[in-house]
Amino acid sequence: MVYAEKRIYILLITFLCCFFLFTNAWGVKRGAVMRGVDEENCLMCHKYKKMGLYTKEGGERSFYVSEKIYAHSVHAKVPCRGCHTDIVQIPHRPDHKMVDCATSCHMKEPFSNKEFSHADIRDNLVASIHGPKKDEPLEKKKHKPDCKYCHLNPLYHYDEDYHTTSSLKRCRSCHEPKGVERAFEHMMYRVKKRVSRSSQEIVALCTSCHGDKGLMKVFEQTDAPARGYKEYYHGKAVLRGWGEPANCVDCHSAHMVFPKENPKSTVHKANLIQTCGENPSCHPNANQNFVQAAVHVALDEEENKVLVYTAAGFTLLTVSVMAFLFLHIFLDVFRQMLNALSSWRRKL
Amino acid sequence: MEADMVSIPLEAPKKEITKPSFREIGDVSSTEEFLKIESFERFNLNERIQHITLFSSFIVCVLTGFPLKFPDVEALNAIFLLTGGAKGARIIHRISAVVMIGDFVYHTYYIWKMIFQGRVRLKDIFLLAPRPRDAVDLFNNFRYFLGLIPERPKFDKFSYIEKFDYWAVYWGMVVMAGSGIILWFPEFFSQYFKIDIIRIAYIAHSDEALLAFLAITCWHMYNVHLNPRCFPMSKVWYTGTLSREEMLEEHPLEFERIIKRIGRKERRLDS
Repeated sequence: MVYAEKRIYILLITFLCCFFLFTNAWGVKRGAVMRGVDEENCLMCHKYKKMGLYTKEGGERSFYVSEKIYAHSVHAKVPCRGCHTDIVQIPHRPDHKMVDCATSCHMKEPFSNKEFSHADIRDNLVASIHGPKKDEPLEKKKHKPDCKYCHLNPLYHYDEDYHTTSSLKRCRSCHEPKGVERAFEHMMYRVKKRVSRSSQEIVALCTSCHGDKGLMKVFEQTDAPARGYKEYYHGKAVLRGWGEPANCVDCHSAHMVFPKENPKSTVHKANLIQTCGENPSCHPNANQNFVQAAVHVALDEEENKVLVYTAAGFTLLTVSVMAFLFLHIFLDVFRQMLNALSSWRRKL
Repeated sequence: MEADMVSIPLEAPKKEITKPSFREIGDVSSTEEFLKIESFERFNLNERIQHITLFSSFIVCVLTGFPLKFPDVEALNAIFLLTGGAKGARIIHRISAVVMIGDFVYHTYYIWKMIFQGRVRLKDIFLLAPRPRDAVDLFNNFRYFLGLIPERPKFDKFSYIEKFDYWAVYWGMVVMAGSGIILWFPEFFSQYFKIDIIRIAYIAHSDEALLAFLAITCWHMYNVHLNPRCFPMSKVWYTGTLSREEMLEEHPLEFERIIKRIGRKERRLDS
């Protein structure tokens, strides 16, 4: 008996040691990947966590750059001055320009050999409903999101993905390794490092403005669509942490957002069947009746009377039935208590 | 030596065979025999299994459905941790829904079978249907609660309280199964409706679920668990039988009717 017990303990301890060794080795391997580009040694100053200034409004602004996070971000291979182009000397002035994402920066297009830039997608954004329009008042303009409002370039989740590594082997069997590896790594960055936002985070980002009643009033809109989304199946499942149901970007697209009256919009009447059925795991059999489903309707601000009366009918039924049942239960308990009390008195 | 040995009985004393519970009038031949009976069968094994299937699938459906109805309630995340998120909960919800609908269809079939086989008199089937007497019973029961009359109204085999439970589940099953199937295959069903049938089904499914849950946890739980008359639990759901005291207190009219019928049978045999 004693021997068997000892053996179990030895086995258990061995197992735990192996487990910790394995996980530690894994962790060291994960932590070891540091490949930020800092040719001009900007981190000499920016590595200090206390680096920053107090603004005139009394707030604090940090200029600290975490090398570990930056090295794993989508722009890890872009040197600092690739985006902060107006810095020409060190130490530089603190009030340099904001970064413009349409700047031509760090690499060349593989075929045309043009300088790479995010200008095309930026132009799409500017043309969409989210772009600032010329004849708009300043109040509206200042609330329109620019590239950096959504693309914070944070490190979300670093993970070596074996699928992309093995797919790369196939490319290498024909193409010369250096160029294709670089292009592939660049294109697959989001998939490989999973830097894109989760559905929950996308909903939180969009509702940070669209769920704000006061801000929506500036644009003659309401927060009803945002609330309505959270009242329906898609929104509720996403709020519970399931990534598959449609989030805002899945239907409205990220950059080409237009009002639904605009034929360019993904949610225009003519495009809805395609939008709903585009992803084969969504609604590939969508039809004209199906796409009129009220996925955004907050019932308190709805004009479709059928839905409002259905909901009101069920609420009335629930309230009246439960009121009656509670009254019945209460009176029953009341009477039985009186009965018990009187029989107790009789005993005395 | 033999005289010293203590005699040990080899066989344990036989238990007194309990009398089988009363099922049908054919089982007894005289009123005296009937009055000696201690237990009365209310639900047979088949019906008890139907009830167990119904409530277990109901509980699973509630557990997997409500976290999605109330996505803001943090505590309900614990359920989704067990089911593998909303995706796994959806599969479990649909499996238990199919079990529940199967149980419902079988029950309807079972009732009609009983009628056509003549195992139940057509007159007795209407005991389960709502009838004017229920309104009178309800009125009198309220008068009793308020102390206006000294005695509770006498109930037949199914009191209006039990009938409400039964028909609430029946109505709920129709609404929940109908709307649930529409939500399961939204593309297919939307073909045939000009109006937004998916959202209507969604509202119906969600609201009716809340009503069913509240009705079960308040009304049914009170009447079969918390009610001082049967606290902590009415055992009829697994024994299937009522004692004579319970029978006389809860279903006196049924008791009287059986006695009347036996008397009539006796007279017929005598003549």
